[in-house]
Order: sequence, then C-alpha cells, then structure tokens
Amino acid sequence: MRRFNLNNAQFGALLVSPLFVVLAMVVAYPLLYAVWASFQFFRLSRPDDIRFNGLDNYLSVLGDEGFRTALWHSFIYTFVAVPIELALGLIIALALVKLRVGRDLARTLIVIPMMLAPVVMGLMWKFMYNDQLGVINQVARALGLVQGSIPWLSSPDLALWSLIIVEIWATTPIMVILLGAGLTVIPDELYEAARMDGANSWQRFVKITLPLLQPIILVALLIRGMDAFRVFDLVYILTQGGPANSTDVLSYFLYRLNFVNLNVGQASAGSMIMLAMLIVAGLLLIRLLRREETA
Amino acid sequence: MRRNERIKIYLSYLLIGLAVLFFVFPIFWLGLTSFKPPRELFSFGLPSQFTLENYLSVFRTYEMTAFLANSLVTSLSVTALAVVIGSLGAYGFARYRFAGSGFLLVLVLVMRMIPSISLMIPLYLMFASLGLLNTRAAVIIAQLAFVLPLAIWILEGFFRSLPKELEEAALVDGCSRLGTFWRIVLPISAPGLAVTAIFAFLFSWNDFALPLVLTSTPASQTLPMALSQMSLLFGIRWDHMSAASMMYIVPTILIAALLSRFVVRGLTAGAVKG
Repeated sequence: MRRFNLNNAQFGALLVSPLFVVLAMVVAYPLLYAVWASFQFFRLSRPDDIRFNGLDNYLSVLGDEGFRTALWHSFIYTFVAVPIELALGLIIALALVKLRVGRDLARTLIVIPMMLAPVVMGLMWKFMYNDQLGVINQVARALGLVQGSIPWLSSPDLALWSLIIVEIWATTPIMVILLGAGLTVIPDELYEAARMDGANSWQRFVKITLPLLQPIILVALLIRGMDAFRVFDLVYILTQGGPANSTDVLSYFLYRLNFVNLNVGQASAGSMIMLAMLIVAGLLLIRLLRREETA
Repeated sequence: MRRNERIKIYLSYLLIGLAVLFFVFPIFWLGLTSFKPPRELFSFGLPSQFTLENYLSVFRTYEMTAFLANSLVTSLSVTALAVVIGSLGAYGFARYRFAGSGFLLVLVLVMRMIPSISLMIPLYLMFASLGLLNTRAAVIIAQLAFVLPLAIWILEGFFRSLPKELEEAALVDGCSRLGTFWRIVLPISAPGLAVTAIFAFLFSWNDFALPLVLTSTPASQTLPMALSQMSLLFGIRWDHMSAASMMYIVPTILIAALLSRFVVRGLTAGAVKG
C-alpha cells in the first residue's frame, strides 16, 4: 500500500496541497493582482495605458466624497443592524429555551430567512415595501398609522433604514442559533445555586448568563459585523445605491467604480482599504476563538 | 414564584409566536402572491382563485430550464469539490504538523474575511484574459475561493474533535495513513461532511455577486441572475418574480425543513465550545 515513504510532515503537506493549489489560483493570485493594480493607473477603457502611479489611487479614493459617504453608510449599516440583531437574537434565544412544546418547529421556522438567497430576500421586501400597493403600507393604512404611504425605498432619508430592517430580518436568526447554542452549554446548577442564594431572575441574567455568554457574543458580533460591512447583494437588488446615493455602501461603491466607471486602479485601492479593515477584525476574531479554546 | 415562572413561559410563547410571524411572513406572502391571478397581485388578502398561471408564464417567457440547469450543475460541482478538497486539507491540518502548518491554517481562516468585491475585480480580469467569461467553470472555480475557507473552518474543528485513539489503533494494526482517513475517519465524519456540503451548496446556490460579474449569457447564468433581470430590465414583473423566486427557494426550504440541525451545527462550529 505504502509505495512512497513519506514522513508524517510530508504526508500532511500532501493532504493540504490540492487546497493550496486552488486557493493560490482563486485567492492568492487575484489578491496579489489587485494589490498590483492598486498602484497602477489602470482603466479598462484604456487597456494600453497602464502605468505605475504610486499612491495616487489610494489618495484619490480616500479624497473622494463618494467613497467617504459609502464608508459612512457601511458603518451606520453595520453598527445599527448588528447590535439590534444581537438584542433581538438574545431575547428570542432566551424565550426559545423556555418553550416546552414546539421548540424545534419554532427554531426551524425562524432559521429559514438566513438561508434564503439575498436576491430573493431583496425582491420579496421590495415587493412589500412598494409605495402605493405594498403590503406594509396597506397594513399601516388599514391600522390608521399613516394617511398616505411611507416611501420606504424612495426617500433618501428612509432608504438606508429600510435596508437595515431587511438585514435584521435576514440575519437575526444567525444570532438566535449562535446564542442558543451558547445558552445550552451553561449548566443548570449555576442557576439553581443562584436561586438558593435568593438572586432574582434579572440578577441571574446579569451575573450568570451574560458573563458566560460573553465569548460567544463577541464572536457573533464580529462574524455578523464583518458580513454586514461587506453587504452587496441586498443593496444591488433593493436600491442600487439610491435614491441620491443614500444607500451607497462600500461594496456597491467599489463595484460601480470598477464595472461602471471602469477604473480598476482606484477600485482595487479602495478594496484594499476595505480588506485591511476586515482583516483587522478577522484577526481579532481568531484570537478570541483561540483564547476560548485554551481557556 | 411558581406563578411568576408560569407567566414567563406564557410570555415566551407569545414572543416566539411574534418572532415566527415576523420571520415567516415575507416568505408566506411571496408564496401567496405567486399563486394569485396577475390582476390581484397587490390585493391584500386571499386571491379569488389559486392559479399556476404565473409559474407557466415564467417558463414561457424565460429560458428557465437553462437557468435551472446552470444553477444545479454549478452548485453540485462546487459542493463536490469543496467536500473532497476541503476534507483532505482539513484532515491534514487537524492531524499533521508540517513546516508552516499553523501559519497556513490561520491564513486560510483569514481568507473568510475577504470581501467578495476584493476578489470580484481581479477574478473578472483573470477569467476575461483566459477567455473563460460566460462559462460555468469560471463561476464554479471562483466560488471555491469563498467556499473552501468555510469548509476548512468547519471540518478542521470537526476532525480535531474526533478521538485520536481510533486512528492510532488503525495505524498500529497496519492500516496506511490514507486508508485510516478513508476507512476510519470519513465514515464517522458523515455529520461534519454533511454540514460542509450543505453550506457549500447554499453558498453556491444563493451566490449573486460572482455570476453577476462573470456571466452574461443564458447559457452560463444561474437562477439569481434570471431573477435580477426580471426585476431590472422591464420594471419589475412581480407575477414572474414571485413564481420564479418560489421555484428558486424550494431547495433552500427543503434543507431548512429536513436538515436544520446540520445547519445549526455548521453555524456553531468553532464559535461554541463543546
């Protein structure tokens, strides 16, 4: 059976080699290419005129009002949606463990949204958000909450918040699952002991549940935060960055810079800036996971 | 105390009921709309009659079978490749130490943080220069960039959690290292492999960004492309959109209904101890 006499290290390297062949081709090479492109004057409309231009792309992207606005929108999107998801997810996870019957069914139903294609999420909400005829405005009118209709996606003041609602709908289930898994690991004896000592339920929540969930909460916040920060599909389907650029987030801005304005150099520089921010968050996440493992 | 506890349970039921309503309603509404006669699409309430007209119309108007075939071929290929390459790689990382293995593992995990836009631009240029734009192969290969790091994330943890003794016994009994992996490790890893397969399939099935930039012909485009065109080209045809969306999410709903415990497991892989 053993025709080649590989030692264990060589055998391990052999096992991971297909992985690295593929990743070199589809991650490492494209990424290095993007790094290279970010330092070039590089427009798809002028393919014969590609030349090194130092930090010009970085400086012009950072100086671009549109880029800074998109970055700001991405921050709002992330820092509003994710904490709300966390709060909702925690409440639902806590209620879910209290159920005697129907817990599995309820969890399955709640899990569905996060598995759906973002394109479908976007389209179904666009349908419900419709100004005149959408079901949300119809219900709001029927309940007497509004006279006319709420311009969910057509008002620049409202559109980003409407997107955030969809994001919350789509991804709170992930929080429910992550926090729910964390809750089941907390031993019941702790709660019993606290009850013996006369702790009320709020005290038990603050002194036992929250501290023991803390590592998972941090991990969940980071995972979700990184996902929200790079949102693309939902924006593309729901608003295309509009109206009046009010929902232009970072990924969508860079997509347009590259595929509409054909400015590969600047788009690459912008994507490097975005990547750097995400890697900082990612390394933090991996450190948290490792620390939890060794603890 | 007792009564207090009971009130809390009632409140929990109320809360979960509201949550289920909130999370399920949009899907229910989409489904209901897809069976409404086109005139009643926006009417609030049940349709005067349930009809399959929208579904038939979608098939008459678009090359749905081509889109469907592309989506299936692409997703199943990505799933198979991710499971094979991912399980070999993850096992290598979980059980063997080699030069730089620790660093390389972190590197693969960091790849999960890469935003799709950072790869979309160079991948587009790369496949364009290779003449592979508008092929299924381009989409399949490109999606592996995002699926493989996820597969390693799930499987490395899974393999590491298996008891080492089984493998050691097999090796002592003269089983080769590859034989041990194939005959001992893989069979008891079925749950981990299932989780990986589900996530790979869902990623590929749902992915929008990569087909968007890599394909523009019906011969290579997947279902999400068809949907986005229904919405963007001629103003939204909600009758078509709702029916096509429902067909598109059937596999997803099936996975949710039948395999949700694997999904839960995959999500919590690595994030929760135990």
